[in-house]
Amino acid sequence: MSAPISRLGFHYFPDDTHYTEKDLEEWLPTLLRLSANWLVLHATPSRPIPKPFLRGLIEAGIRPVVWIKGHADAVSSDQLSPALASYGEWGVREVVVFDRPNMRSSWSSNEWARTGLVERFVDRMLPILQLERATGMHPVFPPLEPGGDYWDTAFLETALQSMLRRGHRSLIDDLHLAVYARTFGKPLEWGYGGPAEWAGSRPYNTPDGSQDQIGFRTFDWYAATTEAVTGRTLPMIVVAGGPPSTLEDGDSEIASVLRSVQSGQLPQSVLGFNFYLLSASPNSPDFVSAWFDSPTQPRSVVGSAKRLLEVGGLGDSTRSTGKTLSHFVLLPDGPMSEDTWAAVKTLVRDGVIGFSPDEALQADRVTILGDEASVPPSVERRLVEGGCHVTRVKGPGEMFVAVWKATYRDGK
Amino acid sequence: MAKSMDRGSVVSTLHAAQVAGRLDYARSLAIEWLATWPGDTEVALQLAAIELKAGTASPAIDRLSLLIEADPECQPAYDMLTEAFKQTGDSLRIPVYMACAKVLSGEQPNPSSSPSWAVALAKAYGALEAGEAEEALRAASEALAADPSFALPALVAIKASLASGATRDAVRLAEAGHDRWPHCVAFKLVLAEAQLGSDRPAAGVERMHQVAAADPLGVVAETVLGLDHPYRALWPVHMQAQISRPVPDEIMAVMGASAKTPRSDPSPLPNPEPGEAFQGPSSGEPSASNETLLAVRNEFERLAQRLNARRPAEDQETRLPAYIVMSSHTRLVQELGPSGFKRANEAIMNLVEIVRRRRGWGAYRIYIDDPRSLQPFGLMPADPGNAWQIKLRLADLDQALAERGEMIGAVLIVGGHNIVPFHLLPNPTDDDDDSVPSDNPYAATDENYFAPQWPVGRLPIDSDTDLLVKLLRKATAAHREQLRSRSSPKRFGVWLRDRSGRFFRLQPRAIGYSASIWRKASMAVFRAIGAPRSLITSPPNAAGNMPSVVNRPSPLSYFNLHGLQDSPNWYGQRDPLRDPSESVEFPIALRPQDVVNSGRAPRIVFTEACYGAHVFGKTEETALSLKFLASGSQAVIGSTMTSYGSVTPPLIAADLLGRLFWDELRQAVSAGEALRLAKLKLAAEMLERQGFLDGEDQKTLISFVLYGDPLLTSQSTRRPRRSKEVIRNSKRPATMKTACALGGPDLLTEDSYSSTTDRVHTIVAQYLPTMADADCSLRHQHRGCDHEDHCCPSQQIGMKTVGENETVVVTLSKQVSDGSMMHPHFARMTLDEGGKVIKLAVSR
Repeated sequence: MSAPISRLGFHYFPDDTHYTEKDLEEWLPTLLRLSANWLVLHATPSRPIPKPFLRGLIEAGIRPVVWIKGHADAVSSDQLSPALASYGEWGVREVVVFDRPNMRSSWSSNEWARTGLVERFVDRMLPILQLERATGMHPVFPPLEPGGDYWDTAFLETALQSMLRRGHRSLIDDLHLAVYARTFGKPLEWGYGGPAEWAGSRPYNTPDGSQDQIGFRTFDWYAATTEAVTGRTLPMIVVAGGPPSTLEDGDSEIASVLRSVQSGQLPQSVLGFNFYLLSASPNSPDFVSAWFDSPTQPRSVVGSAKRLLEVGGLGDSTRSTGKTLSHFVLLPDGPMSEDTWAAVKTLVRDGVIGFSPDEALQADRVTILGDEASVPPSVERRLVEGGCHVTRVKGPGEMFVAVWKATYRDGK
Repeated sequence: MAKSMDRGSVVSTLHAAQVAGRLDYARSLAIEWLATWPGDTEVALQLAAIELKAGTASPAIDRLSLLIEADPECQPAYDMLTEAFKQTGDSLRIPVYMACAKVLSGEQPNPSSSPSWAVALAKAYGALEAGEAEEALRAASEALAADPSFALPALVAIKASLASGATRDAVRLAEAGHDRWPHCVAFKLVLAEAQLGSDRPAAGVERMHQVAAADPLGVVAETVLGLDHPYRALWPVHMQAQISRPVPDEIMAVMGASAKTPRSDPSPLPNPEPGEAFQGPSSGEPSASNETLLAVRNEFERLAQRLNARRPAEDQETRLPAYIVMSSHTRLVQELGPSGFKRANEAIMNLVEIVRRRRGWGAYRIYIDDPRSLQPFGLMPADPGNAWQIKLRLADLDQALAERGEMIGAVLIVGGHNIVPFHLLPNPTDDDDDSVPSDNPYAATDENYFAPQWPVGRLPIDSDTDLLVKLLRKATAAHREQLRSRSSPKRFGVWLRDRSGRFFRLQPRAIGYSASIWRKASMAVFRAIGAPRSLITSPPNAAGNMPSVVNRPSPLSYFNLHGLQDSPNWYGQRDPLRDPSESVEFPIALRPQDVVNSGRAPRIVFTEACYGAHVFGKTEETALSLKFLASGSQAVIGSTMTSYGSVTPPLIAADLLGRLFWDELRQAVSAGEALRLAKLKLAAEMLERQGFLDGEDQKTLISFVLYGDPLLTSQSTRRPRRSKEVIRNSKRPATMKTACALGGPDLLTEDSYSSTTDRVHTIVAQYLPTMADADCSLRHQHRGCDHEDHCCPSQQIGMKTVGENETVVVTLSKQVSDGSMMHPHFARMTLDEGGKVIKLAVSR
């Protein structure tokens, strides 16, 4: 097997009851076989994850992300202090505290209804973030629900502004964001490009024809928000990503997400992508999302993923493109003239043609045939970000030049 | 030890505390609640009323002043401030607040005693309602120029700007207003909306969240932005607070002897001392001497009177009413599909939620086949196809509610016959109907379905998700309006809807439309709601040739026309003594296409037409009742089968029911309650006249149904009046005396009745000349029934035959051809022993 993809990881169980040595013995080989580099683990303030379990992961090269959930108005830094100190000492670098503070259900009703919700959250969060940094960890801002009851991008923006206003610039410099990257049943490209691409999108209002952050590309929107407030894109860790179910048609969706992770389609700021979910008890509502019924009972998705990982070369997406095609000619939808077809035939002598940007991402070199109206600039940017060398051929003149170059490139 | 109480419990307890005369407890409870939920306008108003009654005007003035800053259109607050300043003797302020209250109630302030800006303000409101935005803006600017120390003129100016399309001006005014009155919710809302559309949306979200905190009930926001505004997620859903004082026993007693209202003390009850045994263990409240208690009680009775609180009669239920929205989970999914169900379910929950906000009401969603919705009441699911099982489950629910100190106060059935089946009751009359679809059994805990215990309404839509959701939302909006009119009758944004309100006042209050032949009886009914001379008849009027008044908006509409089972239209009938002989015998009086939308559909419709409420297998294009609902009517009352009425007064059957219904509705009771009381009064009247309920009485009682929300009132938002609440008696008759004329031999075939036969033909020729050639049958009418040759309601409710045959009933039936249509006609004459006609009923 090739070297593991550095960003690939898993969300372990959705509870905190699988941290025995036996659990480690059973699951560690599985994780390594899947090239996992990250693992998100649930804990509570009063019940830390045992040191042997964490050490076992770290020594195997897997980076644990400890997640302590709890009501936004119920967990304090005092409660967390001993556990955070221990985690820091054992080599954990990321501890996420709280979950979706932009949701009504994360607060008691009267706390939610008081003004200054985000300020009050920052009041609670700041000491925890400082504590994390003091113990040698990265301070991590908890994941927000995409969209959410209190619109997530507004929540993030207001929180970051509040931290800056309070003079915590250096804390923000170290800050990581935990992020959800669920598909919500939408295409993986949904919301691609963030607010710059979808300027018409407003909180609670996504006009027809526009897109928003409620999809796989949530990180694009958070990147734009952090860039706008802090002047730079903050590093992000996807703590739960992928489609909601591994049953039914989950295989193909997971394959698409895995391909995105593998082929470098995620922004560089996304450090880790943890698929939801490695495993769960059969009576858990999250059981449908599990990749494994038990360590010895993988679901079909596991086989597909392994095959994909092996075919994809398993190079670290940050240092290898992992491209399977050399040249791809991306055609616009719609009818084409005979002349254009003739040109296409010349252009694709060394490559393949197609209409799918996803397929195009698998190529080192992509030629887009058509102007911005027929193939949007967002597709071009995505291909560039995905590591493709992109050439756009717009009108007949450019077409002629491209064909001439293609014909005589090899001195023919 | 403090205990958490939700808002429903707090409101119920406040209500009960006032009824029990425990003003002190009501005050402390309201203060504790407001400490957590300072934006709860309704509770704040109640607290101010209590403080005023207690003679402590100063805190009431502070509280009310804050209220009118937050909500400048909160009319009760101005009224109470007027009262407060009377107490403090501040005669300068009294006319100012009085003027504001008058402006907000749509009246003209007295120019000699009111500030000049108030007169301008009234003009501005008037212009807004008339849709004259520019004039409103001019008048509002005049009011604003006087720079009064109230936010109200600024708010009106904003409305006027918005109405004239000057959004930027509105935002500028809101900014200026917000600087001066930072607690005004409407100003914040305008600014939040503006920011959300700008390049600073995060600030807009934060401000919108501030609005949610200041207006946790969402009253202002929903009035301005509509019920389904996109920011709903920011509002709290379950309002709770820690309450430290335990609920005293006398309040618990008012709420129901075994009420499960949260008590503050979760520890086991102490064993009562001998002296406590009678009254129960101490609540922990300081005990008052009898004299003190009496004084407090008297004091509170005065307050209760002022607050218009109802004092229970001896046999009146003291349990708090609960609104039950009932449907079938399975059938809804089957009919609407999963996504349709989701939408309908959400709309149902919104309705339930809004009714819960009514003072003294609980509300529950019940899916009779869904264990999860029944589990809180310890009930088992029922077969959704079995109407009788569903009825029994409702009776069980009423018992389960009793354990919480509640009772069924009204039932709304969501869905048509395919979702929640009608009861198909035996037909008590000798006409063509096989059975009578009825909702009456859903209104009673026992088998006496002639006497409804609570109002029942139905949204009779089976598969049209859009229409069903629309009707649910409309009902929710109506409740919202009622809440708004109670806490603050005119709020920001109302101008949009009230623009036509002024129009309404210029138009007839009600429309009456009758077949010419029944105009005398119709006038006697219509008199309750309109001038008899304005009753329209057909002929001469007909569909496509109706006076323009019919198309004008009217809150109430009364129809006394013919209806057919298989025709979408209603028909008039020529009066041979009045109309020219060349007139069409049965002109089409009203078609579905004549019922138009755009706010012109009547709010409440009562129709006497046969099959006026027959909806089996019908759509809005084939049933006028559905067309009315689809066009915006909120309550349609009609008969599911053949209905009967009189030709001339005295009124009987459907005519009498109609008159009694309108009479009750005028007393500000809800449509459902008006129909329930009308049925009870009809039964009482006929029992007094005849000593029993005969076939047409019974059929009238069971065949008339209400389509729409049973709690809907006829009051417009412009003239909010406190509607009487549902009153249930703890005692009721187990049965009613009924009579049957269905079984036994046809007497016309018996020689001994030959003289009667001759008499019948003479009478028919005299009274109903058009029925002279009708088929005829003659049968004994007897009290109760135990014949085995037919099925009738008397048998079903277990009334055995008693006494001798006293009367005979002649049933005439005839099919009258009118072009391609056949009009079935039925007439029932009741003759006494001497062959004298004592009652004549004809089908509609």
